[in-house]
Amino acid sequence: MVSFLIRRIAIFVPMALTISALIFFASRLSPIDPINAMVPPDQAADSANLNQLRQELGLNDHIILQYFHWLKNIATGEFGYSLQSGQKISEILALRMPATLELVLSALILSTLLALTLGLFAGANKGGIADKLSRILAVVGIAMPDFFIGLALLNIFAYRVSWLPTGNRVAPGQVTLWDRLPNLILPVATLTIAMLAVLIRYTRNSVLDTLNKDFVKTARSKGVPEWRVLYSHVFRNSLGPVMVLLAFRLPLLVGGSILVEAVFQWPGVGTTIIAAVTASDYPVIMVVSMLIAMVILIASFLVDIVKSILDPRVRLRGGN
Amino acid sequence: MRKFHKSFGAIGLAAALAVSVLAAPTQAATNNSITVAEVTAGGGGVNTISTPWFASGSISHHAMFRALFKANADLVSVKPDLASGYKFSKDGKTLTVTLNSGIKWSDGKDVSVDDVVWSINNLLRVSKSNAIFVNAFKQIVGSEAVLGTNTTNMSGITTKGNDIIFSLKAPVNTFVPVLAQFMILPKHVLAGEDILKLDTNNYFRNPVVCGPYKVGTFSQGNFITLVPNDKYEGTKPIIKEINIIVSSNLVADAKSGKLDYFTTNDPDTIRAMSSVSTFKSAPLDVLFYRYLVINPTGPFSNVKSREALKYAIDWNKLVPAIYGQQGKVINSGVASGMAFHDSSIPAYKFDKAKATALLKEANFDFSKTIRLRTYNQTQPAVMILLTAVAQQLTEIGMKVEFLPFQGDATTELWTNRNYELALKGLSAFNVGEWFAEYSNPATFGKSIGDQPGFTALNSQLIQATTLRETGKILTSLQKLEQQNLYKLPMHFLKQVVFISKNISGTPTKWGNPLYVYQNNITGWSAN
Repeated sequence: MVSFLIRRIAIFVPMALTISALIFFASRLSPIDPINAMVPPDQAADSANLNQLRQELGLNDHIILQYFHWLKNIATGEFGYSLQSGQKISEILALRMPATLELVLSALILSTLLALTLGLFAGANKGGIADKLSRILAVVGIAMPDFFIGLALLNIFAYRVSWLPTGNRVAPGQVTLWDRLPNLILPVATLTIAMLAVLIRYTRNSVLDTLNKDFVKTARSKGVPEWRVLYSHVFRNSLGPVMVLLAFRLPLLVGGSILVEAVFQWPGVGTTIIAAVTASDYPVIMVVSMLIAMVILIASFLVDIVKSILDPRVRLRGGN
Repeated sequence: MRKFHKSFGAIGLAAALAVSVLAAPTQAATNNSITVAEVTAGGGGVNTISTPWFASGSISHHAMFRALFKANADLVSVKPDLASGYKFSKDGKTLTVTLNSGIKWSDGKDVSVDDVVWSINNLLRVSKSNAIFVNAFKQIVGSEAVLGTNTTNMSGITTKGNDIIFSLKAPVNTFVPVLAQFMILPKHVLAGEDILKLDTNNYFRNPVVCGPYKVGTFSQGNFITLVPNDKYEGTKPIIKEINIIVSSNLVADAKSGKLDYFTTNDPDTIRAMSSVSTFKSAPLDVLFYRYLVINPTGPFSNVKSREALKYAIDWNKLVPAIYGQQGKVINSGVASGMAFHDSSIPAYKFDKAKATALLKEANFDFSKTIRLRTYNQTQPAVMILLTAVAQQLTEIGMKVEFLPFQGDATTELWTNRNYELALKGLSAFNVGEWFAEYSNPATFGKSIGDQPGFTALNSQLIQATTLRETGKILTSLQKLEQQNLYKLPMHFLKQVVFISKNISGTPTKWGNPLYVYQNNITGWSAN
């Protein structure tokens, strides 16, 4: 196990460095000049000052020097400043992350609970109405992109019947969580539907797979009540592949769902990414991309460990 | 199975009840609160208040910041504000402005002549500022000492008691109207800050101000609430809260009562707002130019080929078809109907035969692909208009490639210049700004080189002291423009103010919402 972990960490470090280099140099390949992008084309009357700013931000240094400087800063937790707002990027993330966590965690918890319940129910009653319903839900969720679901919900519940707000996380006058709960409903519903689809199918298939296992047949032949067979034997043993899928959703906690946040003007990390890309705010783009990449690496690292604990053959294959 | 249906039904009912209980209440405007949609700086929702040194005119600027003078709706005549008055010397090169006493910042400190001097000196030291200020303040003696350097003071601004004395290199007839747009910021708060990055300073999240309102709540990403500034010496405002939001759907928010005021020039929003009976609108003729920048190196090097563009495209059909009454076709920087328009300039007339003849006369190279570019790709109306322009150019034999710019507009337009025709917009303070573009070495200068003819006339224009003189210079500028046609004027775009009918006390005559003027914000009230 220890050697397995060392091997995984040994892969992790060069991968992180490669990703950092890719992010940095790719951002510099963009035809957008970060300083010129700050000013509209008829406002360039103060070019002397813009050149001074370019110098101050180190943009006149050699690109390799700029990369190592950036890497050193990232490693020491100094993320730099947004070109667009001038705020510290760490401050922006600290302000935006709670909004994204609120949205994504709510949807993640809700979709997991619903998917596990529906998936178990559908698998246990194959061909039944719950199975059919879960399959329809899964197909709809997979076939329709999340932003489309969001726009449809927005059109019905916000524009047509005006039951729910058109967007934003907090409106003037909303003080408590209860006050702003209406703002949360549509974006969470959108993300939940999108997340639900794949998870239902995974759970259902995993349940069906487990139902055919010998230990389930043994339990049934011993006269164990059906609900107990389903809960203690089938459900618990079906969770493995589902947990892997959930682990791969961890990066969403950092990046948010960019399109859903955009549709609902949710002031999270996702809208920050869109604003940064639109304004060529490359320090923000680089830091957020790096963070997302790191979380993906960590999530995949965790998945490997969980898998290796559940199935020792993974460790052996890794060794070979 | 019955049980199953029942439980699903119960869940559905519970969800519907929850939604209706939590349903967003509609907020109608009251004297306690109104809501205003603005485009704020920083992106991704409400992030910070835009620096008034770069773009002004938003309600938050009107409500919080003040200049030495308050412009009237025409933006030309002014009334006293922070200053009690001004006086020019006989030669027009010395301006003395007298500051009022007893005006306080929202933190209780006095507004002083030091704040005024600091603000004007530092406008030339920030990286992001409006060209109208830069161009005017560059005329102050010693301005070159501070531009792009670490020197903090111009020799041409001195003080004596409450008087601020400006020494100008030459008379500048727009100096006082420009001062009426220039918001004075507090030296005691900002003097130690990195002035180059002033526009992104944390100050703009909770600024110390001297206007009738100040920031009450700043909820980053969500909204800003402005509340009355208790240190404001003037009439206390009636409305107790102004909420500044960013709206993704202005029409829906206006319909549902979540919004009370906004301005736009987007034709789709303007059309859709005609169905919102709770709002009144004020369409405003403003100097919002749309025009084609023509690259004079390449296929359009001959002026005859540039002239052909006037006739090759059916401007009089395309512009109204896309913008309706909001768009007005213009054939000069001084459009027809404006004072000093040169009526000898022929109106645009769709005439393919004439266009073809002009191109032939210019030996136009039809084998070259004409690269038509824009940086307004997010505006559907612009994309439709330029697609039609590309189509009509194709019809007279040109090969046209229409694409949005890949990089940022400033670099693509002035440094890379990989285009033959590019759409550009200009929200001008006055017609002088339209012609001043030809003399700007940082923009058009890179494309068309030094233009001594334009430079001399532009210089005369800002020094002109009589209407007759101004008219004569503008006529010469229009003639020079027609002789060169480095840019082809296309149309003006009206700006429309939309305001809830619940709000009264608003000005009888609205001014250009892209600038600051006397809009009587303290007198606004809502039923």
